[in-house]
Amino acid sequence: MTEKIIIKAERLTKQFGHFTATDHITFEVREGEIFGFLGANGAGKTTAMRMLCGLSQPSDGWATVAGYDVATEPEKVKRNIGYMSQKFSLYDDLTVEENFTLFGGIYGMSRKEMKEKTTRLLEELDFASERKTLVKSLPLGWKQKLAFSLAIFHDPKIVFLDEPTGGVDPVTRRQFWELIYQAADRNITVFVTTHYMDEAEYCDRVSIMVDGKIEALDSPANLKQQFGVETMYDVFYALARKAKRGDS
Amino acid sequence: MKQFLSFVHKEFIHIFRDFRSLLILLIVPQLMVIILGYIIKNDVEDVRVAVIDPSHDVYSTQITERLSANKYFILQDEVQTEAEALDLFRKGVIDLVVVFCPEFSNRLIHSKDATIQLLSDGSEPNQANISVAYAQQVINSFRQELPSYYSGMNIQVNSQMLFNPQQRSDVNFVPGIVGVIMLLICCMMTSVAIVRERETGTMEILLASPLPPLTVVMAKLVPYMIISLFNICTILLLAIFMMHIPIAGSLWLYMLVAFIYILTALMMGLFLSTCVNTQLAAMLISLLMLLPGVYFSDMVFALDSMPAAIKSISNIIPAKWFIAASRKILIQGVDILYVYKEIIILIVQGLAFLLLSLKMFKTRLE
Repeated sequence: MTEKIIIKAERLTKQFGHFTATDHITFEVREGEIFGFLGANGAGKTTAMRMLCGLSQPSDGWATVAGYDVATEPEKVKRNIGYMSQKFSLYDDLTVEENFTLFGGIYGMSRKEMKEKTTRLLEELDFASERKTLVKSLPLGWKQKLAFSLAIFHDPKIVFLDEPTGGVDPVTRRQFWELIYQAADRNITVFVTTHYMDEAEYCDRVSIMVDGKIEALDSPANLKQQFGVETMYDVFYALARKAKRGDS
Repeated sequence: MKQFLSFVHKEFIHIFRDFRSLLILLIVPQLMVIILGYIIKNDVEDVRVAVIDPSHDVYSTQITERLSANKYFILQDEVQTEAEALDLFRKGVIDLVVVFCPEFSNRLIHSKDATIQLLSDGSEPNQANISVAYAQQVINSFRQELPSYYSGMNIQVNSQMLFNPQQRSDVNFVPGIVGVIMLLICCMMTSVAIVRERETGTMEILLASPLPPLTVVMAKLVPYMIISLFNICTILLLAIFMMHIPIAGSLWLYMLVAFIYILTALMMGLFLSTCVNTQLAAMLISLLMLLPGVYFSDMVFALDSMPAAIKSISNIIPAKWFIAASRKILIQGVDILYVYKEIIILIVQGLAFLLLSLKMFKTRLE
């Protein structure tokens, strides 16, 4: 891991009318880091992530991702990131290979490059036999792993994962995190939101958002020490129960 | 461009793997044309005719005889005055009155200004128009068989329906059906396809990719445009070779107008997709838009018989303009000078929908 800063947010804010979803958050993410972005439902995580992906214009403050300003250069930001959303996001009626071909095409990869890469990826996933299978007939865990592979198919500098393991069984979750580690080894920065505290332990550093603000940001070990507790769950609980916003 | 094409390719896969879309896009349109245009004919038969003939001379009698010999007409009665005829109309005994001018043969030969007036029952405008056209056909054929030394002599017939010489309802139907079907495909199917991506969450992934948002949406429109053009071609082929509908005008001009209408309808679909969040809403609203398309497009219900207020509302319906233009081209055989107004209106409507969509389009997922 280098000390190079790849994401920098400064007083980043998003308001919807009178409601401030993300309230002046300031943080940095280092290149190659696995950065956990935690918070209760409605804390403003997804809104913040969308701004970082160039999907949503900040109301105030600014952020740069891979050196580009999210407000003024969203297209350049998008070229350097991968994104996997909360909702399952492959095309159900396309085969595994067609999904890869589509996204390869969108990022301007050559046909040959796509073919080789698809073959290699599917072999790594031990999934070569399902190349021509329609995605809808795959189990959810597999879909999520494929969605992740697709998000990093074009070798982005950063990959944003919005609750990627929701509803997935523990074994598959574990495998999913192995994929995340592999990506981090290839120096892809991973920016991940999750509700699972065991996953928070896997991150290099985590931030915890409460009511639109970042209330804590450090490595899991430091946070536990700082709050004098044994697990990330206790750290999270100590912060999140102060939240005034309910589950929305 | 390559990005765009890989996207269009994917869009085609969506369509071809979904049996229902395929059915709606490629089977239903042709089926509708066959059913509505071929099987359900609104031809009129047994038109009951009354004749007002003050002179009872050679030619007026000949024409009356021809009418009564024609299989479509039943000669009902001879009346003396229009007031009597009106009375019979009110009683519902007759559908058409043929009024010869006084001294018919004399005026036909000498002053060459003989007139025949056709009075029809306007409470059923479609039927009235068709029966008037039938009567005209009979009179025309009579006129053509007049001895040549009478050339230049003229029977003036007061009537509005000058076209569709074979008096076939299917000829009139085809332009209407094409107009409505294109609305179905371009407006409903596209808006549903766009909203579906938003519902499943894939739209977010696409917007997070470097594809410009507008490209994403445009790529979604392309397959529907191609399928619509294909449908227009097959419908025309069906019309020409199966239903033997004579095409009076230029097919290229018709294709041009159809293409412009398709683009306008696609923009309607695009606009609709920016207004709603669920496929269900997109479907319901397009169906709601389809109904005025049917009512106001002069396809089933004659616009001429509607109140002025409703007539002016019909002007905002693109289908109306397309159907008007295609009737002119296919049936009357006019050239572009006579349909430029319709073309311009369609283009303006398309641009208006495009601008509205751009305004509404959520480039950023707010």
